[in-house]
Amino acid sequence: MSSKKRKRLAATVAAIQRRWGTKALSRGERTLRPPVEIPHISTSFPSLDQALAGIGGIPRGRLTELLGAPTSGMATLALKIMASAQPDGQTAVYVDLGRTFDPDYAARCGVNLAQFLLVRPANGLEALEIGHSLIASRGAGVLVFDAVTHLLADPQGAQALSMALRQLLPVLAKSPAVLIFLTPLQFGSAMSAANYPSGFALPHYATLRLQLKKEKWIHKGRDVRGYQARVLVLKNKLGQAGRQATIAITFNGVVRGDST
Amino acid sequence: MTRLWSTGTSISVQSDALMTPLTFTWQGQTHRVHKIAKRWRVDQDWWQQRIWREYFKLTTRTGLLVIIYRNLLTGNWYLQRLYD
Amino acid sequence: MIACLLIPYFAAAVERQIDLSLATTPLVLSESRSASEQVFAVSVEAAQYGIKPDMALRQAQTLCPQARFIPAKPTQYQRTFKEILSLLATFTTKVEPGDNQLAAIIYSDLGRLANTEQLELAEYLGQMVQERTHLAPALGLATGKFPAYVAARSIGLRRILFIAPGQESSFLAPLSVTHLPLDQALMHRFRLLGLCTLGQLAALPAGAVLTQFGQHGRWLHQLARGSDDRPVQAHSIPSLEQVTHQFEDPVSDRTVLAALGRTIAMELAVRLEARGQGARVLELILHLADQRQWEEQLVLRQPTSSPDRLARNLGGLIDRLQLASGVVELTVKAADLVSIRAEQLDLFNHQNRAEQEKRIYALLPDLIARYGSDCFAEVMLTNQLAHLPERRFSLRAVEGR
Repeated sequence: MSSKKRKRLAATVAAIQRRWGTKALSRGERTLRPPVEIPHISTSFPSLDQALAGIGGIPRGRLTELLGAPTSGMATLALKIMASAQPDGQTAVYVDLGRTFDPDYAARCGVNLAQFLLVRPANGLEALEIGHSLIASRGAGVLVFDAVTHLLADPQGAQALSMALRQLLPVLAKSPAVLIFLTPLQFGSAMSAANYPSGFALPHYATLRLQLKKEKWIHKGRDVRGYQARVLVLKNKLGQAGRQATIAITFNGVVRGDST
Repeated sequence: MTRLWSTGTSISVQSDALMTPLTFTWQGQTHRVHKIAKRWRVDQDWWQQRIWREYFKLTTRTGLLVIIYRNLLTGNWYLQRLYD
Repeated sequence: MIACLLIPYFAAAVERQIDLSLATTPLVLSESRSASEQVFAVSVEAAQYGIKPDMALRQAQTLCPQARFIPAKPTQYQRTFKEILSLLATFTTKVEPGDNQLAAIIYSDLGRLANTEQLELAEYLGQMVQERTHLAPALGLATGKFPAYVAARSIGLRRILFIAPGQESSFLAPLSVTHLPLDQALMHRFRLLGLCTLGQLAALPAGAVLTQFGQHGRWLHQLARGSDDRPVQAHSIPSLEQVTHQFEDPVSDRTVLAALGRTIAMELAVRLEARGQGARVLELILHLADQRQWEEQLVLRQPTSSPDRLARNLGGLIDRLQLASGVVELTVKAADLVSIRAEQLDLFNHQNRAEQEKRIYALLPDLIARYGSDCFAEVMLTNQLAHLPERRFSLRAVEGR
C-alpha cells in the first residue's frame, strides 16, 4: 500500500473512531474455545437438528419461536418436539390460548398424554404468569405457548406482555425447560411487521427463531396424506442463522416426521 | 397438529349445485378451494340430538389443508380442522 | 447477498429521538476541539445550507442563523450505533460498520438464501432496528457492498431496494459518480473529462482507466461496473455489557451514586440473564466535573448475573470513591462474560419423572385458586376411531396432589 493511501486510510479510521468509538472498527478474531455442549432436546427431525448449528436441537433454558402460516407444519413441529422431550420423564405443558388443541392428533404425533398438562388461561398476561410459575417450579420439561396472536390480544397490550416476558427469562435461564412460542403468520409476507406491534420484544428475546413454509403436498391417490415443509433458521444466538432443513409430515394413523 | 374446533367455527361458503364448496371465508379471508381430497358423511345419534354432517377434506389455493363440514340439518358450514 | 443498512444524518436522527421538538428544524451538533467550537454533525436541513462536519461553528451560524445549535453527545450516538450492530449481529456474524461521516452504515452478509427470503430477512432487520431504536433505516441488497450501499442511498427511509444478481451495472449506470469514494482531486478530473455517471466510467476500457487514474481508478472502474468482491468483515461482539448515566449537574452525594448503582446493577442483571452469561469483572468509570477520570475495577470470585451480587459489589466500589469534585458521568461495565449455562446440565440430570411431577402438582392448587379450575386440564383419549373428532378425547379438571 502506498504511503499516501496509508495516510488516507489512517485519517478515515481516525474520523470514524472519533465518531463511533474505538471499538467501531475492531475486527477481532473470535477467540477459539472448545465447543460447549448446549443442553437441548431433539426436534425429532435429524436434518433440522443438524441445521441448528451450535446447538443440535432446541435449547433448554432459552426461548424458541416457531413461525409459520397455517398449514406450514409449525404446530406439528412443536408437538414433535414435545414428544421428543417426554421419554426423559418430563411433563409437557401446552398453553392453549386459542382453544384449538387437538389431543388425538397430538397423541398421533407421539405426545404421551399421561405426562401432559393442558392450560387454557383467560388472557395473555395470565398465560405468561402461569408459564412463569410452572417454569420456576422446574417441574415442566417443555412448554408451548399457542399462539402469540392470542397473547397480543390481551387488553394490557404489548408493553405489559414484553415486561412479563422479560421477567420470565431469568427464571427460564435457571431451569431445564424448553420454552416455545408459536407465531402464526398472516397470509402473504412471511415476516410482516404487522405480526408484531411495536413494543413486543419476543423476537429480540428469542434465542432461536424458526420459520416454516409448506412446499408441496404428499398424496396417496386423491387424498392428501401429508406435506413437505422447509424450515429456515431465522435467528440463532448460539450458532449460525440462515441454515435450512426440509421436513416431511405424513399422517396415516400416526403422524410421522421425516427429514429429507 | 390439526387445530381442532370441537364444535366447529362458523364460516361462510360458496358452493355449487351439488353443494361442493368452491370458496370459504374464515377470519375475514376468502380461500378458494383447490382440490377436494375426501368427502364423507356422518349420521349418528338419531335417538338423541341427531348429528348429520357432510365433511370435506380439502386444500385451498392459499395453501391450507382443512376439514370443513356442512350441518345437513341447518345448512350451516363450519371449519373443524386446520392442519398445521 | 449483502445488505447495507443506512441511516442518514445519524447523529441528528438520534438527537431527534431524544427531543421531538427538533424534528424539522435545521440542526447543528457542535463539539469543542482545540479551544474552538466546531461542527460535529448536521441534519439534512442544515446540510442544505452548506454546513458540514469540521466547519467552524461561527461559519455555520453565519450560513444558517435559524438553525438549532446544540452540543453533540458522541457517547449516545456510539451507544445507539453499537445497539444496531449487536441487533444485526444476532442474525449473522458477518456484520461490518461502513465509513461515513454523517450516516450510520452497516453491512451484513446474509449468506445464500433464496431471493425472496433475502428480501424478507432484510425487511425484518430494518423493522427490528426501527422498533428498537425508533430510527428509520434504508436498506439496499446486492451481491456486493458498493451496489448495496448505492441501493440504500437511492431508496427512501423505511424502504428496501433489491438489486438482482446480474443487474448491478444496469442499476448503477445512470447514477452519479459522486456515489464513489472520490477525493477532491479525482472528482475534479472526472468532471473535466465529462465523466458524470457511473455508466460513463464503466464504459471506458479498463486499460485506459488504469493508465489515466492508476490502481485506485481501476478499482473505482470495477465498482462502477457493479463488481465489488470485498467481503463483509466479521465484527466482534463486545464481551461486555455497559450502562452509562450522565448527570445534568455534578453529583458528589455518595447516597445518590449508590442508589444509581443499584438501578444500574438491575439493568445489567437483566441483560446478562438474557445472554445467559455472568460477569467476572465489574468496572466503574467516573467522569468528574474537573475534567478528570476515576476508574476502578473489581474481579469477582465467581461470574454472576445476580442483581443482588452485582449491586453489592458495585456498592463496594462506590464506597471506595475519593472524589475531589462532582461526578458528571458514571459508567458501569460488566466484562469478561462467561456462559453460566453449565450448571443446568447437573440440575437436569438429577431430576426424575416422579420428582418433576411432584413439583408441578404441588404447585397446581395455588394456580387453580388464583386462575380457576377451568384453566387446567388433563387430557384422555376415549375413542380414537370415533367419526366425530370431538368424540375422540375428553378433558378432566386437574386436582393437585
